Amino acid sequence: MGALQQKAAALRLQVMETALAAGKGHVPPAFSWMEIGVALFHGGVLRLRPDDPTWGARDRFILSKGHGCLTLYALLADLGFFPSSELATFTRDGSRLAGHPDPLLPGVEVVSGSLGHGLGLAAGLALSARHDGADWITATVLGDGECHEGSIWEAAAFASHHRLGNLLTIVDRNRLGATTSTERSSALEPFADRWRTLGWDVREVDGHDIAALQEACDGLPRGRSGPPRVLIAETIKGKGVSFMESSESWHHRMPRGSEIDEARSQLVHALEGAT
Amino acid sequence: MAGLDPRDAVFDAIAQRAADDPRVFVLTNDMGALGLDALRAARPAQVINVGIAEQNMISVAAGLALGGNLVFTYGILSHVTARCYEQLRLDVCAHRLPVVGLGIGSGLSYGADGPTHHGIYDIGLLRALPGMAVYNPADGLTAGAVVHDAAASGGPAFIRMDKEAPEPHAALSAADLGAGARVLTTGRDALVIATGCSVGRAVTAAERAREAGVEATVVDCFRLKPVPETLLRTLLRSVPLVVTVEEHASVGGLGSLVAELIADEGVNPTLRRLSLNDDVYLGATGRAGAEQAAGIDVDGIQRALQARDRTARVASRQPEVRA
Repeated sequence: MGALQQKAAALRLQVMETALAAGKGHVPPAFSWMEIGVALFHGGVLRLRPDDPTWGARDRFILSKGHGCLTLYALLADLGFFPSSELATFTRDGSRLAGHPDPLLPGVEVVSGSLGHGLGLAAGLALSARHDGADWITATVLGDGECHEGSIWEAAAFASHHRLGNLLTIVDRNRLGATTSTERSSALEPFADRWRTLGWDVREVDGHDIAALQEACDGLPRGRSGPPRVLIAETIKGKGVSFMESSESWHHRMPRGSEIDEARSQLVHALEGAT
Repeated sequence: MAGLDPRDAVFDAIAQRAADDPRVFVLTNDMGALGLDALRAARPAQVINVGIAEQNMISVAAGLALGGNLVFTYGILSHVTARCYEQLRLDVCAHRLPVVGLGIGSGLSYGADGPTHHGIYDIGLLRALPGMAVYNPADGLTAGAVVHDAAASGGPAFIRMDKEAPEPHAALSAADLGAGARVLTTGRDALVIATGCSVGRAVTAAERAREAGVEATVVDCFRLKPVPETLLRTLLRSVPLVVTVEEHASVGGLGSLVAELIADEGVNPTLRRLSLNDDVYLGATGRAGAEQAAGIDVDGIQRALQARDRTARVASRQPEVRA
């Protein structure tokens, strides 16, 4: 198994331990975009300088599905944006690691957690970069449940109209909202067609296949116009812990009793298998 | 006699700022203006019609501001405040970004267009936003001046614009701009604090009351947030009667903020808050008639100044008690 898969396995365990220490956190929505995050942050997609988080030419990243922040925190700590020891403060009074992310924490560009904001913000950033002739890109990860928000489609139409080819959007298509299937509450399908109809460059990809994600992110037209790209990343909410996977019961529930040992055991086993 | 149109003055001021600055943008939700057309002709890449999509307009504005730009957003006041309120709160204010909202249609400027277009609830909304400066200019000269003040602040701001174009008062001094309010006339019997289109009515009412022996100080409160505390606190200490006048619903506006200031200051003048009702004005609403009914026209303000029983309340402002 490759180094990036190992990284994903290690960070999943980190996410679980961070949440267990805090006694709270949205673990399944964090697990579903882990490989997406690893591809972006470790897989050569994003240009970042952990020792200079506000470097002017950095690529901008917005976790629009802010409730998935445990994975973002694990990634940023792993890269050295802040000390890994700070993960232990998650959601404690005064911590820079709140239950949803904000720019108090180095590496976090914007406040997120109320859904439907990230794509418009990202479009504004992408427009700004192009206006300046800069070659940094803006990437954002959306939840699929988040795509029930009308503001997402306002922004999607805008980004396509302005040919923001320097905007990369990845939808974590785990097919679950907070309590039920996205298709049961208000069907999103034909989901990819919605984006195609709006003029987006749509790539459908296995959201847990890091190499496939890297390939789908390849060749973005930095600094140039073109159709904005969206990856519809098919994922499994709660990926990595069997009893959380694709379960309507597991959005922000925490493991209890024997579930804790079982979750840890599965994540450790996966890590050992990856190394 | 018509004076300088506030909207023209605002876009003139923006054009001055954009003339040699590629980092000034104007976004609109498909709302037109002559000044905007001129700006678009001169700086086409910097004027963007996002379509009728207010939430996205504010998020995109915030993204552009994160990229280092000064961004103005323009539309009808009632639409570019409530519809996109969370975007203002989180995308703009949480990051203290230089996004300046421009809302045309303060008060009952669009009274005849029905309640969807009434700009009478936004002061309470806007001033609840952390870090948001809120301007309500009474005339075109003031409207142009506060554009520069808002831009220079480097943070979130909102400018309400009226469809009326009254003869302007004198241009604001730098000291006035810093204070956020200015004294237009002085008198020892009462203090009238007015904002927006009500300022002109208040000045006329004070002139008439003076002929009847009541001398009032009239303040043009053109900035509602940050509250012009220094000037207002001083004035509140000096009079037995304070009258606030605004073409805004009674909740959360100028009257509320002056009441807060009086409470904070520990002074005890009689406060009469003149405003529109806490209500939705269905149907076509004529501005003059609604002002008269609410007592925020010249006659109503004059009555408040000359009232013998200064604790009397306006009957129509009492909430209806339902069984």
